[in-house]
Amino acid sequence: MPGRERTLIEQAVRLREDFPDGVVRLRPTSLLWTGRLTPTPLSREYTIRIRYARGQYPKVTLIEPRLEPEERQELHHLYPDGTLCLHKLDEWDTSMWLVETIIPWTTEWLAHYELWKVNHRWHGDGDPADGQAPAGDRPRAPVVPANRADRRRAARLEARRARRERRGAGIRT
Amino acid sequence: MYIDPRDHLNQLLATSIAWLDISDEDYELAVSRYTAVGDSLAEYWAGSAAGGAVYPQGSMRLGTITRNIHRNDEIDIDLVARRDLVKTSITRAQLKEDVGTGLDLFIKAGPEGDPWREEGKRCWTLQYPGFHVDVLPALPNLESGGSSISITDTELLHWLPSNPIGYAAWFHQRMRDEHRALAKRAMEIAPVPEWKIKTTLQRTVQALKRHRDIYFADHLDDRPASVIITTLAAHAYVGGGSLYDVLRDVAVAMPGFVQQVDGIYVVANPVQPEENFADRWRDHPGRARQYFDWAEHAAADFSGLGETRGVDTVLKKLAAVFGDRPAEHAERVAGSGLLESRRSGKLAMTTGTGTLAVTGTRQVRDHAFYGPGNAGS
Repeated sequence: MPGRERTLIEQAVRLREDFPDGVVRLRPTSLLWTGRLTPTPLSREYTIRIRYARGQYPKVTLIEPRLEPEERQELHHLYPDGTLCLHKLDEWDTSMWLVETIIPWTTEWLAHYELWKVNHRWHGDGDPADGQAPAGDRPRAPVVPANRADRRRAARLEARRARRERRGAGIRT
Repeated sequence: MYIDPRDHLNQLLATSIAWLDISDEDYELAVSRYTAVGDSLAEYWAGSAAGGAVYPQGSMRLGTITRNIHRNDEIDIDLVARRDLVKTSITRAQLKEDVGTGLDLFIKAGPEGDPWREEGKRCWTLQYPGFHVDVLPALPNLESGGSSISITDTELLHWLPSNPIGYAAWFHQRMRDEHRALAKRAMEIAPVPEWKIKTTLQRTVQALKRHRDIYFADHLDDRPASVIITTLAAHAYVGGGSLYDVLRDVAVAMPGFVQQVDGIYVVANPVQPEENFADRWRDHPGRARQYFDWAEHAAADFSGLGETRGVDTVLKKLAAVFGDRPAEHAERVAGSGLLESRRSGKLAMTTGTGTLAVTGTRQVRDHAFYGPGNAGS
């Protein structure tokens, strides 16, 4: 069962603590982090961006060096919008810190990406042959809202989710 | 796993070079084949007054066996077939013939692997599929004593002195301290056969031989002999340092150990200095130049590995110097190592840089590179 949801401000504070060189931009309902990661000691430095909108899965984009067009085509571990596939749905929920999950997973993705570049072989898991990702499109939220604000927010999210479901529009995260 | 760039590079280098090793199965096959040849020759010699001995020499004895890229990664094993006779009792041609006859009897008995026999200038070759055994006919060299032997060469009118056992002893002496330290460390973990313990000097010799084989792929005859590379590398090796440091330093320093005596290049056999391993350079002056050109390339290639960023670029450079298969091996080992260390909870990330290591500040929580609604991700 997921624990308490980490607020955007809390996430931003942790990002700043652990990655002082990164840039965090906080908006009322989303957070944008741009930072540089060197996945292994022999690796290049990569600039990545995390976009985390409340109620959605964080999205990670590789900014620099850019993925080549043919890489985008052949690399299976990317979403159609070019963001990185980092986890199964049930592996992330809003109680988790970005610095403890999304960022380490991103550096690991980058380490596998550098190996992939040689012969286009992915040595990480998450291979289509391993099974399918579970259905669904949003992170688990706290089951029992902690306070009135959270309860209101949860209700709003729930209402929005229900509206979307009625429209049949799935969000890709 | 890795903590700094050099450790990471050393790991990729070590796994690439390890691919050039003979596998456990191949090693056992080599031992069983040369034991079978030895037993068969002993039986054949038992019919005469003098016996003999069969023992490995060259890279098998030195621990520097390196797969041959130009022969589809074939393995070659060198043996000495020493007949315990005096020089006055047998001619060079008779000795060669005697060992040849003994090998024919071995082949006729239908041994495992169905080898056939081919003649070389100094040895007989037992050719197996993907594998060959060079058998060098020899007599004990009583004038020099010890482990010295006399060998034949179809191009020469006299006996040639040689001492593969003495040479191997010199080579092992050069790396004695490192070997002892490695053996002690290895045995603390699990019993390891002696032949599997490789010093940075042995790894460096393997790397240089492979680099040479790729560099001279289109003109194999111009290749500097393995014994030249091994001797120069062992002279240049000062002990200590990581694999990368030793490889780079040896590659850079090696040419400096070629001596010039009266305008002739000399790479003296350290255990019988009158023998010049570079003797053939006298008849083929181009080969000395080729050697120095190659050594310069090897030094530049190996030094360049340390200045490269991007694991993909490093692996591509390793493929250029060692061939695709050793580099692919390094890639697979690195990939599975990364996956396994995370699955077993040992992978950690360093905050600030995001660099992965086994001793980082943040453990990488288990996950899979999937994404919502994207089965192929």
